[in-house]
Amino acid sequence: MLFNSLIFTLFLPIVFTIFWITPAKHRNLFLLIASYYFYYSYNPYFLVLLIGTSAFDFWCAKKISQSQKKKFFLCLSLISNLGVLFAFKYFVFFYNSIVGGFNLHFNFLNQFIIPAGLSFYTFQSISYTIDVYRGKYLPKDKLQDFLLYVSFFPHMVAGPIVRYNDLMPQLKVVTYFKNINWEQSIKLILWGYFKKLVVADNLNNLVTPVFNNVTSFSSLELCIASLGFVIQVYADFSGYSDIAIGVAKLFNINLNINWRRPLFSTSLHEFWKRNHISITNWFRDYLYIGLGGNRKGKFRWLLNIFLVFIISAMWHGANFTFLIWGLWHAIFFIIEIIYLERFKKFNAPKVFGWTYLIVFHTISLIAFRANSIIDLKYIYKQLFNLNFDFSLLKLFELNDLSLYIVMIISVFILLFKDLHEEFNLLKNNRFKDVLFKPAFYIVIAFLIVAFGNFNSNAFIYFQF
Amino acid sequence: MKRIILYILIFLGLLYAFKYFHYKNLLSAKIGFYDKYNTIFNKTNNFDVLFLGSSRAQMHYNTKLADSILNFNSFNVSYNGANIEQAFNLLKCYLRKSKAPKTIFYEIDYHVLKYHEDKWMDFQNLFPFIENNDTYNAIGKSDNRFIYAKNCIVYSIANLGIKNISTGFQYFFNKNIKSDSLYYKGYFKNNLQLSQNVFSNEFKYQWFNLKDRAFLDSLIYCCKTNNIKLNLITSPIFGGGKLDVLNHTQIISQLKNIALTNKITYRNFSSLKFCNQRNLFIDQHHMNDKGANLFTEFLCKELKKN
Repeated sequence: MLFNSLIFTLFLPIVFTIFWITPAKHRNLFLLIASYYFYYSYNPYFLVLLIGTSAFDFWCAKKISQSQKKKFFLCLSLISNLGVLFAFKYFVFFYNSIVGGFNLHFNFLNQFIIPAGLSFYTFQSISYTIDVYRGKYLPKDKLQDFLLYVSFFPHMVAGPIVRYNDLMPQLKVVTYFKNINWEQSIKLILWGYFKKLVVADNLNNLVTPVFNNVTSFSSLELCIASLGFVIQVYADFSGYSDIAIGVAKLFNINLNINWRRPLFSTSLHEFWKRNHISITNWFRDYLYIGLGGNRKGKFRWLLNIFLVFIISAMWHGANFTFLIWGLWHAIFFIIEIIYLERFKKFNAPKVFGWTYLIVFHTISLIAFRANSIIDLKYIYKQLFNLNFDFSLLKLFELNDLSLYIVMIISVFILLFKDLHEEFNLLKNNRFKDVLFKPAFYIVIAFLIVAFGNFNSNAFIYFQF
Repeated sequence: MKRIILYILIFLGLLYAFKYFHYKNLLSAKIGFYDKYNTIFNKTNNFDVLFLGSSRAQMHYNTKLADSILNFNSFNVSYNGANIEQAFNLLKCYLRKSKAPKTIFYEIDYHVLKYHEDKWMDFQNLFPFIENNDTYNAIGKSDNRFIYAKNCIVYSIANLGIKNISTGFQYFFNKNIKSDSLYYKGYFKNNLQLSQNVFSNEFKYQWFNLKDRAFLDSLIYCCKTNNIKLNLITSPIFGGGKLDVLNHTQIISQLKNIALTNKITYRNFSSLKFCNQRNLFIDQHHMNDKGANLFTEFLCKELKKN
C-alpha cells in the first residue's frame, strides 16, 4: 500500500476512526495489527520476515541485559539483521557481478524482489540492540510495544528512522482525541502530497525518459533533467517524510523532522545536517562513532568519514553508480574539512556557497540516477564537453507544453514555501492567519487533485 | 473542527465550480474530439450511413471521401479501443436522439474481442458526457469508473490529467488543440508512417467469448428492429493479420458464419494486396491517411459494384 494509492485513502480514515474509539489500553495492539496489514499489502511473505527479525532483536536485547555474554547476543542481533540485509540487497549485486564477470548467462535472480523498507526497519532494530548494549536503555517493554516501535506504519517503509527514546515513551502514554494538532497534521499531509504527486511525479515524466535514453538528448537537455532529478528526489523523499509525520500526528505521535530544506545549504557539511537527517544521524551514531569518530588521530578521522560515505552509498544500492556518488561526497566532504581548517577566517558570500552546493549536488546526483556506468560516463562527457549542445527539441517532443508549465509553477510554489520557512517571508498577522493561510492550503489541495499524478508511482526511497 | 469542516466545504465547492467551468469549455468545442462525441451523445442527427467500431474504424473510413464518391451523408461513430459492448453502447447513445441510419458498417476483427480489459480507453475524456444521465446509464454500466466519476467529485477531477485540463483552458481562450483539425465527421486523419520494429505478438489466439457473442447478437438485433442494414467489415491489417494471431483464418470464418446465420453481409479486406505496404500504416493495426484514402476508395468501388 502506497501513501499515494487509492486504498490508502480508505485505510487511513478507517484506522484513524477505529484507533480513537478503541479503549486506550488496546490501541497499541490495534495500531500493530493495522501496521502489519499495511506491510502485508506489499508482500505477505515479507511480513513474516519483519515479525521474525524484530521479535529476534527483542529477544537479543533481553539477553544482552540479562546475560554475561552481552557481546555474543549483540553479534547475534547484528548478524541476523545485516545477514538479512545482505541476503536481500547485496547478494543479487555480487551474484550479477560474478556472473557478468565470467560471461555466464544464468539470470534467475533478475526478478528478485527486495522487501519494502527492509533497511529502514533493520536499522531501527539495530539501533535499539546497540543502545541496550551500550547501557542506554533497559529492555523492559512488552513485545507488542517493541514490535509497534519497529513497524509503526507511517515510518516503517521509508523512514524517518525513529530512535527508541523518541517513539517508545509516546507509545506508552494515553493520548486524547482533543489533543490532535489538526493544523500541523493536515498541513504536513497536504505538503507531502503536493511534493510527491504534483512536483516529484510530474517531474518524473521529464527525468525518467531522459535518463532511460541518454544518448538521444542534448547536453542542455541532460542538464535540465539532472536539475529536475535534484528537485524530484528532494520532493519525493521529503514528501514521504511529511506525509509520514503528518499521519503520525493524527495518532498524537510526533516523529522527528527528516528534511530541513537541504537545497538551501551553503556547504556540504550543512547539506548533510539538513538532508535525510534521521539516516545521517544513524550513520553518525552507529557507524562513524563505532569506527572511532575523530578520537583516533586526523588520518583515521578522515578515513572514518570516507568509509561512512562509501558504506552509506552502498546502502542506497549495490551498484557502482552509487559508489561513485559516495566517492564524490566523501572526497568533497574531506576537502571541505581541510579547507575550513586552513582558511578559518575566510567567509565566502553565501551565494557562492549555495551555487557550489547546487552544482556539486547536481553533478554527484547524476551518478545516483544514471542507469549504468556507461550512461554516467556519457552524461559527464556531454556536460563537460566543449561542444555543449543547446538544443531543446527532444525535450519538447517528450511531453505536452502544459506539463512543463505545471512543473515550473509547482516548483515555484515549493520554492516559495521553502523560502518562507527558511527566511520567514510573510510576517504573522491576522490577515495571514485568518484568510491567506486557509485560502492558500485550499488552493494547494485543489492543485493536488487537479494536477497530481495519480498513477501510484512508488516513492524513490522504497527501493532502499 | 468546525473550521476544518468549513474549509473542506469550500474546497469541494471549488472543485464543483472548476468541474462546471471545465466541462462547459470542453463541450464548447466546434471541431475535434469533443465535437465528435457531442454529436454522438447530445445532438440530433440525420446521417444515413454510420461507420462503427474501434480506432481502426476511426482511422480507416474517410467519411469525406465516402460522402463524395457515393453521395453519402456519413458519420464515423468510433472510439479508440472500443470492444463490441462499447461499440454497441455508442450506437445506443446515438440512436437515442438521432434518426436511425439506413446503413451501418461495423468494423470487426480480432481487435474488438475482449483481449484487453473491458474498460473505456482514456475514460476521462468522456466525463463531460456522463453528466447527461442517459449517456451515463448507457456507458456507466460497462465501466465502474464512470460510476465513481459521476458520484465523487474528487475522483473525477483527479482523473482528468494535465492534458485534459489544458485542453479545457485552450477552448476557453478560443484556441483549438493540435489534433482538432485532424477530425472530419468522426474520421481521424493520421499522417504518421509505420516505423521499424513495431511488431509485437501479444495475442497468439483470439476467440469470441460468450459476452462478445451476446453483444454482437444484441447489436444485430438492434439494427434489425431499427430497419438498419448492418454490414460487418474487416479492414486491412498489416501483414494480413497473421502477424498478430495464429488463428486469424478461424476468426474470419467464424465471422462469415455469424453473418450467414443472421443474413447480413460480411466483407473481409484484411489481406488485400496493399496490406504489406509499410508506407500505408502507422503501426501493425492502423493505416495512415494515405492508406485510409486508398481503402475507402476501394470500399466505395466495391459497394458501387453491388
